[in-house]
Amino acid sequence: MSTEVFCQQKQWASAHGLFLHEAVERKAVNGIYGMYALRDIPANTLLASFPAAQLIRPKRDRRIPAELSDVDLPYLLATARELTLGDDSAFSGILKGFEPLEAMQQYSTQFISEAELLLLRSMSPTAYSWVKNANEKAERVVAAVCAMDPSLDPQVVLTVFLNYKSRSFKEVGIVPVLDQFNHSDRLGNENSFDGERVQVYTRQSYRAGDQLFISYGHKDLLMHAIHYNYFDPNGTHFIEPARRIFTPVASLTRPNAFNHLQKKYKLQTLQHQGQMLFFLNDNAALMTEQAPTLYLTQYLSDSLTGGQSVATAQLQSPLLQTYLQMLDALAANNRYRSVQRETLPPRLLRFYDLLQKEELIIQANRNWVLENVA
Amino acid sequence: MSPELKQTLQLAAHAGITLHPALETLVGPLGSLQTFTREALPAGSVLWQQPAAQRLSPPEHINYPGQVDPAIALLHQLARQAPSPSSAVSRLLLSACETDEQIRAYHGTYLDAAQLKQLGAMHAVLPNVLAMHTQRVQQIVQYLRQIDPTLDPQVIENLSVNAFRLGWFNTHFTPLTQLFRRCGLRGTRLSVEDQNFVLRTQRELAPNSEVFINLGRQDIFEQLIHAREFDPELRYYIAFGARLQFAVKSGAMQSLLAPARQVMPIAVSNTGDRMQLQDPHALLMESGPSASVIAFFNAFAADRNVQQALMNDALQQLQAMNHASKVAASALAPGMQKYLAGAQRDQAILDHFRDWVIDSGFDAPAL
Repeated sequence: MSTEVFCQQKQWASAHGLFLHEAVERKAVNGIYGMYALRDIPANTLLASFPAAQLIRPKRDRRIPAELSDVDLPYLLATARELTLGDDSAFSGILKGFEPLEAMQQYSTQFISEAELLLLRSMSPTAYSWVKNANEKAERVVAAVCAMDPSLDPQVVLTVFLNYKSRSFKEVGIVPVLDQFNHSDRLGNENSFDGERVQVYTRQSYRAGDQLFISYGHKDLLMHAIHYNYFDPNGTHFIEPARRIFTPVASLTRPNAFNHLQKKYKLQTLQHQGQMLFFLNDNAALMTEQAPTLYLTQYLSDSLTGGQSVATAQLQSPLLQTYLQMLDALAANNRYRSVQRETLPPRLLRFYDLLQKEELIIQANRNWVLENVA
Repeated sequence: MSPELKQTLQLAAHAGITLHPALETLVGPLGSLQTFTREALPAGSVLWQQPAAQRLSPPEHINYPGQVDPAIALLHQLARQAPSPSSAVSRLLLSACETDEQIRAYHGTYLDAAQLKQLGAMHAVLPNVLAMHTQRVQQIVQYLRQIDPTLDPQVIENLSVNAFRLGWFNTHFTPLTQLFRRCGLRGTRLSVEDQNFVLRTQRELAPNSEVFINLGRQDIFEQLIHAREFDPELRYYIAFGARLQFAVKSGAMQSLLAPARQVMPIAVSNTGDRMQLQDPHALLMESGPSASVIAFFNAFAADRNVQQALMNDALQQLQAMNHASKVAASALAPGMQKYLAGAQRDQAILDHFRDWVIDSGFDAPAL
């Protein structure tokens, strides 16, 4: 969003109840816009807030298909209707910040060509299948919203959905100005909704000149590149290995281990070549840039023990071995070295950078295992 | 190659120790010896081998009172031989020992009261680690003097300090450990094969890469006591289990403690209100908490609030010990700089731990 459009949006939002801390400014650093601290800001400071009553609020009187239950279809419907109205919409200040489809066609994976998709598959079969799944889902969402209101232009619905994927706040959708904070999993500030206002509080103190972030929630770095259309190698990134790797139920060594896992974790199952596979559909099970998180190790331990009480000293070696196998599987799927960065189309450059970072994360985690074995 | 090093290698050959011909030892920029391989070595290559017959043996016909560490008997043997070594391996071990004068120039055991006060101002744990080490050395001196009053206490003290410095208590007085710098990650594995001591690479080594030896991972401050300087290139650890005691505050924590103790070595105070993880592998590493530390928190996974309380307690306790940011390097004598650098690295490890807590989805206290 250009500075001019941002100023217009800020003016509209201020007239509709926006609070923005005086020490917060929006500016571009290295070509990327973000929100920055003009002076030192202590922890627990309210950075910005906006009244929910001024946001697009859909009627929730429709049945949603189960397979799309994670998408707020009524919100998309209401927003697409407002976008169709253009400047006549009462929410024009919110809509002003929307990225137009023409701009997104340049870089969004939603518009990836068949040739680009094949190239992506040669770099990472996982990225290929995730992009494909995301695109198929977008098609289903657009079809579902258009079925709710056949007068809507599918292109308008797609514009709304792609903007919604990249900048909406949980429960309330897109919030003007507040959506201009970039994401950081670790430095991100707390964003909350108290029923009346959407608020962003600092979780830690900031020095003048620091970038101010919010957290959109932990996500696999691939998901970020797909939803947010950029990849910053200098940011803090995570991998969700248990979401990427399908485990055959038959490979679990303990009897009833699968039942135990099913009770305790959000598992998703699928049939493949006559055997049942499963994966963990939970973004708390992360591989950080150094080591696995608490939740991931807990899941791996439970996979090995089936919930039985086993002395940690006995569990350590198989746990590290399992984690190492996971790292090997991720490494085998990372093939960015098979292509030259200079030869890639612009849309795939961020995936090249991402896979390079992913390789570093895998290596760092391998070192963590080696250091534990030592 | 220095004349001293040349003599060491000749003594090693005389003691039947074979060293891989591709290895070359130099005096590094910080004054320690560093060994490099001049050619690529595949994982598992034998770098150095000591025949069983050439190992240092404990003195015969001596009954050591109490449950004595076998390594103390080996130290006793070395102390007896110090005036006139009778075997090649004794000569080799004694040649690796620094003189009192050399050690006093940098070793933590010989800091004076003012310097100890400065240590305490940097990090609350530093003087304790040092006091425990000094006490251990004095206990060894007293113990061996009781058994053998003819021994010179100064010689025992010197040998003890050298033995800790060179890792001999971990390696049963294996010679030549002084040629390698210690590292927990890029290390080599020392093992006994057919009663011979064999040092093998754990991974492939590229030409001209440094060969490290892994003698177990110590708390950063234990490592620093023996070091000439703080080497930023090495990896460091915080002994999570040894440093921390946790208050058992809530009923929820109390109820989870019993099942946790079934899977983890956790000691509980007589009054039941304190607990401590007794696992030497429980470390905060520069790559994140070790698997043992993670397992400790996971042992309380049934209650997320208890997990959060334990992690925050650990962070706050460790942070309260570290005062590195309040000490100016310019106010310290050169010999004290390594401790400040160590306390700063301790803080960096703590920052990594806090990041991991946040990445695990928990709110961490401000540091």
